[in-house]
Amino acid sequence: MSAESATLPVGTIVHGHGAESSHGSHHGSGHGHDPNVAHQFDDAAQQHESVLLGMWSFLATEVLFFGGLFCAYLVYRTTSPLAFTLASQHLNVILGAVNTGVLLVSSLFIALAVRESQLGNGKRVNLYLLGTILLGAVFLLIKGYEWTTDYHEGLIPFAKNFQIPEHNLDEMAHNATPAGRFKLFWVLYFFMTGLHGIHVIIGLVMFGIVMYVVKKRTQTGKSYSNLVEVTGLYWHFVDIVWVFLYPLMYLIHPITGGGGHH
Amino acid sequence: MNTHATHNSSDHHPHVMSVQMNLVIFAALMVLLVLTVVAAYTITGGWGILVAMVIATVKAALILAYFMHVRFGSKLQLLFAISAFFWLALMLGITLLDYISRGWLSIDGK
Repeated sequence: MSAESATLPVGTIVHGHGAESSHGSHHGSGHGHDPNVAHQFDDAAQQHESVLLGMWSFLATEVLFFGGLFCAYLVYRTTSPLAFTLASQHLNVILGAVNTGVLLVSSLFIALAVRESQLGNGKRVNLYLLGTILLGAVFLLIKGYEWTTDYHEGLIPFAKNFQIPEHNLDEMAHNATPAGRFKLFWVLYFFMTGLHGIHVIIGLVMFGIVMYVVKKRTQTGKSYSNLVEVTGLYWHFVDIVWVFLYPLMYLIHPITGGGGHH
Repeated sequence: MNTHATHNSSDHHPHVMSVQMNLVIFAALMVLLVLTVVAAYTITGGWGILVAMVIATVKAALILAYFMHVRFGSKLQLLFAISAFFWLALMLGITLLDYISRGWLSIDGK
């Protein structure tokens, strides 16, 4: 599958000669071994396209990976909207908004890092990457603070102190909503924000590695823009997941009101 | 034909987005973030979730098109990006059809 997709653009990108004949014998003599192009590729353009398609294939699986959880969320929110509304009101809307902003700024930094990598400014690339790592750490700290607060409020399912607040229980009982669905919101919340948090951590580790590689390749004069671009794609994807998580978890309507109106 | 071996980047030039364009997209994303919070406090009733999802989708589209360069990439890359969300839409759409249509039938054990 990946081999097929990698060879697809060959016909369009390689001019003049066919994809088959350009491999092997032609390769060494004509191109004089560009150190930035791995030898399975005809040229930098084809390598660039392949690198991007590889990451997009992975991101497609990631979309469906998170998609399963979004699907579970959709089913239970559709069938028990009241339980989700009541549970969501225990989350801090402002902290969630701040964290969304933090990730959006980090995405801007990555977009600028990709730009600088295309222009060959290794030092600026690493400055933006360092900024992204710091912002990612701020995101995780805020998230950690929220999770700690959730624990103290007894909202972590399967923790010993988990307890559905009395007034929420009453309202759900009045509206024939199974109280278990309140707990289910928190299961989904911790699974989805937790899985997202793991992706953030992986992203930060990767950017650390990329910074090291960029520094080394700046010294040796090798290209690093593809590497920065694909890790950037991953990071933007992580940002997009949060863009949907934020309204679905924090902004369930009506924000004001709710608890104890019946 | 010889390649320019002296240059750091290769002779192939992908689309480079200007700093200004990056900032414009970022500003739009921040405005949409504020908008979604304001909407959450002002819109009551069933429309709220729809508004929130429309705003989130616009934000995601901006990130995909500009920050992720889908708009400037090849058609094949666009196909890969669309296919990811196409399968997601199938999964969510068909599942939702099932759950919202169950109440339409007066069949025991539905």
